[in-house]
Order: sequence, then C-alpha cells, then structure tokens
Amino acid sequence: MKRMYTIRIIGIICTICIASCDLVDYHPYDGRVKGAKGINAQNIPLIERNCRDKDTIRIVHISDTQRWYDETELLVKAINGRTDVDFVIHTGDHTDFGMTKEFMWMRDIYQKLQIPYVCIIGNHDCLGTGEDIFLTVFGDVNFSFNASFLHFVGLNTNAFEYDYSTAVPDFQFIEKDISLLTPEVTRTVVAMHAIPGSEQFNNNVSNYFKYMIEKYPDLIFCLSGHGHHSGVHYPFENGVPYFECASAKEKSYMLYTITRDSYDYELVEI
Amino acid sequence: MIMNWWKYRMVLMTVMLFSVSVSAIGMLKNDSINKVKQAGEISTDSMMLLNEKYRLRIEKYERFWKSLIPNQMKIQYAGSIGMVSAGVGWHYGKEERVWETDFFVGYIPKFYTRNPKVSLTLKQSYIPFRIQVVDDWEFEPLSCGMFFNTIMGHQFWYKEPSKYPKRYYGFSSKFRIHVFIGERLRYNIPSKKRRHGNSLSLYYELSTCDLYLASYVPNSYLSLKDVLSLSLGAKLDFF
Repeated sequence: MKRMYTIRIIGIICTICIASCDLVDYHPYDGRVKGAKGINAQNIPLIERNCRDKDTIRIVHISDTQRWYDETELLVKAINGRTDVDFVIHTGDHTDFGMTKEFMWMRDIYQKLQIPYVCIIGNHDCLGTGEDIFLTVFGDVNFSFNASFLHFVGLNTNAFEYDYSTAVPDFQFIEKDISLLTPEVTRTVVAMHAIPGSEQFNNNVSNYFKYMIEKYPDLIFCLSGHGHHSGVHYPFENGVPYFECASAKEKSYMLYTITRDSYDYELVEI
Repeated sequence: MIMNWWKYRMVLMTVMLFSVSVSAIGMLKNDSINKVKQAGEISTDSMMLLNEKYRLRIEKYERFWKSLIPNQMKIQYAGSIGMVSAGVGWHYGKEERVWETDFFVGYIPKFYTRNPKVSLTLKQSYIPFRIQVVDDWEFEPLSCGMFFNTIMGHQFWYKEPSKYPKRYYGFSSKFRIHVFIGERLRYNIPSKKRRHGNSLSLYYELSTCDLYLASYVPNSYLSLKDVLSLSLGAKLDFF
C-alpha cells in the first residue's frame, strides 16, 4: 500500500516534469537561447539573391518593437499582406529589458515574416546580457550587403551603452566595407538605431561619422529608430535625410522604393 | 513600471532584517526546538555559583544566538534563480502553519553569454497546511511566498549608472522580485533512521518575476506558460 502510493506520487512528479520543459528558466538573463540563431547571416544571402539585377528595391522599415508583442504581430501580418517588398529592416530595440526570453518572443514573431529581414541592435538590447543574445540570435552588430545596385549598411550607434574598449560607431568596419565595394554598387543606404545628435550617439565623432559615410557611393538616406515617432531629421547640413520609424505602438511602418536614379518614401499606417 | 529602485533596495534590506528577526522570535517561541538545544548548554552547577539575574541574561543571550542557527537546507533546480541553487534557512512557527526563510546561492552556466554567473536569493515561504498521506509521509498542498534575487556581474545594475539621464530605463537589471506557489511532499524520517536530519521534503514551485509580469500583462501574445518558471527542489530539516 505504502509503496504503491510512493510509486504513484513519483509518477505524477515525473509527468509534471516532462510536460513542463518549457517552464524551465534558469534566470531572466541566463542566455539560454533556443530556436533560430544567426538570423541576419541566413537572411542576407536570400536578400542578395532575390534582388539580383533588379532596378527597383522596395524596403519596409520597422523599429522599436520592445514589449509591444501584439502590435508587432499586427505589423508582421500587414507586411505579409504585401507582395512588392524585397526585405524588411528593423532598426533596433527588440527588447525592453534585454532579457533572453524577450529576444526569443520577438524573434518568433519576426520569423512569421514571409520576406527576409535583418535586424540592427538598439540601446535596450545592450542591457544585461542582451548584447550577447543579440549576437547569438541576430548576428554581428555591424553588417552590410548588396541588394542589386544598392549597398545596405547596418551599424551599431549605441555608444552610450559601451565604453572606450568597443568602437561605436566602428570606423574600421566602415573603412573596410568601403574598400570591398564592387563597381555594380551605385547607391547606398545606411541604417542605425540612434542618429548623430541623440544622447546615445558618440557626438564627439559625429562629424567624422558624416565624413566617413559620405564616402559610400551616392548615400541616398539613413534609417533610424530610437525616437518612437516617425519623421525626417537632418542632423547635418549636407542634405542627407535620416528617416525615423515610429515604435510598434504607433502601428505604422515606413516603405521606401529605391530605383537607380530616384527614391520615394511612404508612411503606412495599419 | 517607473519606480525608484533605490527605495526597493532599502525595502529588501528591511525585509531581510525583518525575516531574520521574525525567524529568531519564532524559534525562541518554539519550545520543542529549545528542548533539543538545551542539551548543549553550560552545566547548571557552575551557573548556580553566579547570581540569578546574570544567569538568566546569559541563558537568554545564548538562546538568541542559537535560534539563529539554520535548521534546514535546500537544493533546487531552475526557478529563475540559477540552474542549481543551494541554500540554508530557518523554519519556524506552529507545526501546522510553517514559515520559512531561506538564503540561496545559485549558479548560472554561461550558455550564449560571456561568463557563467552567480546569483543570490532571499526567499520567504508560507506553508499553511499539512495532510498526512500514509505513515511518515505528509503532503503540503500549498506553499507560497516571494523571493528577491540579485545577480552578480558588472553588466547588471541596481540603479542606473549616473551617466544616464534620470529614469532613462526605469528598472533594475540586477534586482528581481518573484512570487511563487507550489506543493510539497514530506517524509518524516523515523528517529532510528535519522542521520543528518529529521525530515526530507520534495517540492515543485511555479514562479514569475516583475519583468515577466510587465511583459505578460499588456500582451495577449504571451501566455502564462511563457512567463511562469518551474523549479524542483529538495529540503532537509536538520531539527
């Protein structure tokens, strides 16, 4: 009788354990990433292949989706409703607190996108162990690729979250990237989270940043987030616009259509 | 969400002091435990030589410090305080309504981060019922309470570093408040078989923390399964 009870109780406990593997959490900042990793590195070749020889590139720009999971789901649904988009760019702040689970929750929403997407690091993603998780889930904080004639650059500009041991923005990366450009690339878009002049940017080097990114062939515009409101900024007097996308709370995204000699932008509210 | 986390730190320290003193008072009142402890006291013969007031005072002093000896230890798997955590603590109060205070040290492997981490936890539990199942086995259908966790590492802060404008992030990455609910199975070791303690318990708990709740509440996308954390553990009562 006694033994039967013991066996039954142990059985119940084991069943609970197996049924609840998902519930195991070692710490909010434990860095135990499950599921898709290295997403930018997987999506960039897809974008490059899909855009090859195209004369018109269409980009959807979203940003600052932190802790707005329901709204981000709506955005993903709205973007999936379009068939004319080549890729999606997210300009940072995937998480609010930099917790490991936040990255996975957000990533699982993005993974429903039928269009390849790339992600940039935001200042909130640097909190706690967040940067390590960003590197694991999405990939390098600075990256670039070619979508047909368009050179697309993603940069980490959250200097406020780092000390001098990390170059933010990384001019060596920009220099090397420019030196590797091929002649078929004729235009450039640079995307970042925080623009020059914001409290996150290393404003001591903002003029040098302007000088360096102007070396790219025909810099059309820059993309950013961080401010949570859609708009256009001109941090320098060189006429290069910095488009800012609103946070997911506003349920809107930006749409850019770039051809070999012109471009157009649109704010789409869903 | 916007809170003064510095105040929270003060609250944590107050709660720590409060729990320790409550446990001390609880232990003093618990006669059965005091009887066990009297075995180790200074012999009464030498005491008789001293004056009564002084003797009583010394006895009280000794009783106080003895009441602070931890009378239980726990080992726990997961539960948002480490992969494996070990702790010592105090149980006090009446037999059918037990309070517990535990202090855990947890280990978090590095996984995809740069370093493995250590976390410290102060936990307060309340176990209001105990039902006898069979012979020496008892079932505790409810244990509940809260715990405070802090994680070591320079990348975490209690309060935003001074470089940030006021309330730039408005939370603490180092300090977490959790609430939990769970159940236990307890085996009272028969006196002949006792080696290190008088009872052994197995438990599971479901917990969640402030930041998980802050994510769960405004989003229907997240389910309870996303924000709940399961822990499995064992407890040994020394006396």
